Amino acid sequence: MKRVLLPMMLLLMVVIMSACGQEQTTGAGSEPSPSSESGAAEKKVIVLGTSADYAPYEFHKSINGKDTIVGFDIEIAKAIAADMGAELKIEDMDFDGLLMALSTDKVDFVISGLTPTEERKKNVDFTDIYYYAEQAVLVRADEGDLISSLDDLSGKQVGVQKSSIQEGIAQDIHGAKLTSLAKIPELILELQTGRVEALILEKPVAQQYVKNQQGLVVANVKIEQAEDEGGSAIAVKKGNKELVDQINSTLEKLKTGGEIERFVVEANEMLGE
Amino acid sequence: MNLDFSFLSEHWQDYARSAWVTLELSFFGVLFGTLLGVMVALLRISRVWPIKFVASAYIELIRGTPMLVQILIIHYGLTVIGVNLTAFMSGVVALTMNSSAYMAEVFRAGIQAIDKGQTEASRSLGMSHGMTLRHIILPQAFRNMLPAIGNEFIIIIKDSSLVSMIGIAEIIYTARAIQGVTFQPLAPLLVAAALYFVITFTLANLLTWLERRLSISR
Repeated sequence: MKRVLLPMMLLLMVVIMSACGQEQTTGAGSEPSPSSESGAAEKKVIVLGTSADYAPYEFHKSINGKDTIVGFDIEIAKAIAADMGAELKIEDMDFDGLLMALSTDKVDFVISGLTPTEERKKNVDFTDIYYYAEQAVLVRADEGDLISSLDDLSGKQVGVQKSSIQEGIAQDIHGAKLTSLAKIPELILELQTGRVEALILEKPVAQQYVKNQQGLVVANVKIEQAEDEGGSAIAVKKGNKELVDQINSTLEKLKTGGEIERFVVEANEMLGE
Repeated sequence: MNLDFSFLSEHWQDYARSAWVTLELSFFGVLFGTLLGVMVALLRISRVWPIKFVASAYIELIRGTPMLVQILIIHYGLTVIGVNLTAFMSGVVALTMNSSAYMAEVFRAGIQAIDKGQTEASRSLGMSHGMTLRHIILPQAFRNMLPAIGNEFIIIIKDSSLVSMIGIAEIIYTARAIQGVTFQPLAPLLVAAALYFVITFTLANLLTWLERRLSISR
């Protein structure tokens, strides 16, 4: 046993050393920044939390064979980091875990198409709204004419993303039965297999699925929303006013320069490639 | 349903990378899990009751709670007491704890299955209790336990899919990322399933071969 254990321990040490040395190719930068090694004046690092399965907001794309997280939210994050003179690190995780990660200091700020609802405001602070998206109802093509208003969804099985703004909209439909799942692709499967009758998604996302999957259409439903609903804002840890102000000044600059619209168009083009 | 696997030409590297991450996670999980498992098992068969109680409590607690909950508690819960692990480390810690509890039971059974006469014989040759364990009992027990250890390795590989929750780029995480880009809900998952199967099937055959090699010495 001894003869087995010692080489095993040695091997273990070597493997751990090498594992620590190499850069993990995870979507999340899972390595801590080597602060002790760089003697030079080091750059401040700001960590972004996002759930990168929400094209065109943020999604994964292979760029020159390297897995990269892209999207217009990410472009905004880059601009924020540049204005702070900090290096941007992206942590990709489940949408449900984002606010938890923020309160437990895993990330500094969250951009993930987040809508600043009253409930969320209790736990985190939000910046100004940077993008306003319409909501849409996605249905199977043969049932596109059956749904003309939200009330038509009453008594039907409706699919939404868990802890999303759409979940709130669906909860307000009288008599609708909800299926809340973490990931949008799973919702699409639910719709295609007939387990739900309709999905409530953001319009840009719904339109992408109509383009890429046969047999789906966006129903002709206008979803009325108050000005503070459906808009996306950036979340930071509660009480961090300094960071909110800093981000707001960057957002102001991007909005007046028409940069955000440009980012949205570019992100949609990237998807089409 | 229109299944379209054309995304593989662009994304096969992502899959390959993620398979490597899954293997890394499982390897460390099983390795540390085995080492920790041996320790817990030895505590578990100790004759000092507080030690025995702590080891039993640990095993029951880990076996009695879902893996997913353990992962989330380790990743998000530990920051409350100031321990901020990276996602990969949290994943390894969770897999290690989980496999160590199951391994401990495997080891305990393995050690207790060795004939009492072996212990008596080595004790009467003048070996101490520790020496008996190290030189006589554990080597024999280890060989009998290999199939169970191999099974545990395969279970951990499959369980490692749960750590995609906290953002480690293993196979499931990658499959989901590709779902989000290609707007193909099912095909990326099928590729992930195939990849898991290839890994576990290969490993199972390797283990069978290893068992055969070791049983020759009987």
